Amino acid sequence: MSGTARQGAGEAARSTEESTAAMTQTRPRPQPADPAPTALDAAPSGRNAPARRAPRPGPRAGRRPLGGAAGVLFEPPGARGRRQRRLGSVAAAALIAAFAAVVMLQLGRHGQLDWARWQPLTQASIQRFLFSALGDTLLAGVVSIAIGLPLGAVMGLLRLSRRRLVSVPAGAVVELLRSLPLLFVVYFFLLGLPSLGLRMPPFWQLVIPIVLHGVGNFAEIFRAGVLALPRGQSEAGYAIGLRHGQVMRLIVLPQAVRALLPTIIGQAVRALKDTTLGYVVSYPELMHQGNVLGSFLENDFLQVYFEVAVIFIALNWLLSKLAEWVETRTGRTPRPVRPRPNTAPQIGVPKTN
Amino acid sequence: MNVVADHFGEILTGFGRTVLLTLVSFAAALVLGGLLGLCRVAPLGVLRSLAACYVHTVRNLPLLLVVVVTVFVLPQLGLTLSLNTSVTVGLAAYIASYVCEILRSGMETVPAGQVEAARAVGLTTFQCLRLVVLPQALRSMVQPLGNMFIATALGTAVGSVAGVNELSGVIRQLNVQYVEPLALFASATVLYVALTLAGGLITGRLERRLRIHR
Repeated sequence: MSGTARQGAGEAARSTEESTAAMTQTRPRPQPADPAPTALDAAPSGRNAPARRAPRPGPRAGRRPLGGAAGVLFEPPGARGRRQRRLGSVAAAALIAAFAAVVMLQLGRHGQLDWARWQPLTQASIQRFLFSALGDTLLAGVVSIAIGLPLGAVMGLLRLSRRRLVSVPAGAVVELLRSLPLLFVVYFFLLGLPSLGLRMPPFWQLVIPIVLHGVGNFAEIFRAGVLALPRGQSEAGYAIGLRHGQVMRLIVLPQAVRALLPTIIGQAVRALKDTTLGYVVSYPELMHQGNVLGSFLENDFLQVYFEVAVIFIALNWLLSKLAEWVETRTGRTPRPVRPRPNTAPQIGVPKTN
Repeated sequence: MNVVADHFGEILTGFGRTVLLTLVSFAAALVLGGLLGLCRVAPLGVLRSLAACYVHTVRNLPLLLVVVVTVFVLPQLGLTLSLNTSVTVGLAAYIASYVCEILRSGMETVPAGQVEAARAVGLTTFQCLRLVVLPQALRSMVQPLGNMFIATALGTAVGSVAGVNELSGVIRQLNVQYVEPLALFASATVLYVALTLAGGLITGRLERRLRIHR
């Protein structure tokens, strides 16, 4: 059982690796007319090249050219093609505009667009209310990541242990944590535990389930990162006489963590989104306070939730910018181990301009 | 343990609703996400930015917010649907943004040379997409899509906030009534694990079957 499970998980790790690598492949597609940049482009990309530009397919995806087959699917149009595309664009734009108009019209008919309903959002006191809720959202998010990340790392490493007595139970716990809905765990902490005599404040009723959920995810992230590292790295470590623990600590983890930073930030975005379950446990975060405000303003839910949505999008956009920034930073710092070109993992290769 | 035995039917009904919600939302998300994914690589800038906009908006929103707003907004748009359907729509809209990105990245994993070769033997763009790019892209998408299936299954629990009586909702109600948390939550845990395990096993098998040995 555990053998197949491990194998399956290995596949999972590999394939997420592949897909995330593909999502973030920033290399522009080679232009056949101009061979020089193509050659330069191809040079740093060994077998593992995409791994270093790891995960978090963030908002930047919008502007960059598509890679692989997706980028060359359509030939550059000729005169007639251009005309057709222009026509198609106009038609598509018209369709989208019509759809938006219908939505707006319907909302207007139900009075959702009346200024009286949006006006409260311009009041300073209401903004202060919502932004103090943002503080509570951030607090819950930061605390859950601060606890969940180290615990998850430990669980991931335990699952990779060579002792079955350790790896099998750790794997079972991780899989269990990953296969329970977060809300279900929240219900257990909200309704189940108090009747067993364990009552805690709403903050922990929210944060502990997020931490548990996060431990499962972080553990898998770490395991995938360690498994994605080329085998030669740890083999080389053993060859020069390091122990398993030393290989992990000195060789595998430093490289894995660097490659994983953007994924970890992606997981942080998820944790932040998960704090909205404070709605259920009455923890005063954005969603809960939005609901309170909506009923206080006599049914102006749509307007308040609109602002909550904007805050979330802005917040997560900032985080994904951070992930991008971290990526470029880690790409420039010198590596602790300096392997021979092309045979070693390409994590942290300085980008040549 | 008695509660679980006495109300086994109710729990199973809740579980059935969870499974149904999962299947329908996932199917709808596949369709919507597939369309968005095709828009994402379309030659028309309007469609590309529409899909990009959708993905970047919805992916950054919490699922609970998406579901609650959907349930609230749909009637305002003149669509009075049952609660189940509304929650399905919200869940599908959320998952679709992920499916879209999976499809796009799947198509990006196919080497550009494949398209060039297809064009060289005279396939039209549509044929190239249908016969060359998509079959190869789908293979690399099986595992991420399996993960999305599991995410959908876990996401259905959010429906209980909107008032859908799926597994988590049933357990919550029974627990309020009978206060036997250990037995109730344990029974639901078993069912959830069974559902996600089944999802994982099916994906694993599919992937092994579809893999090309080179």
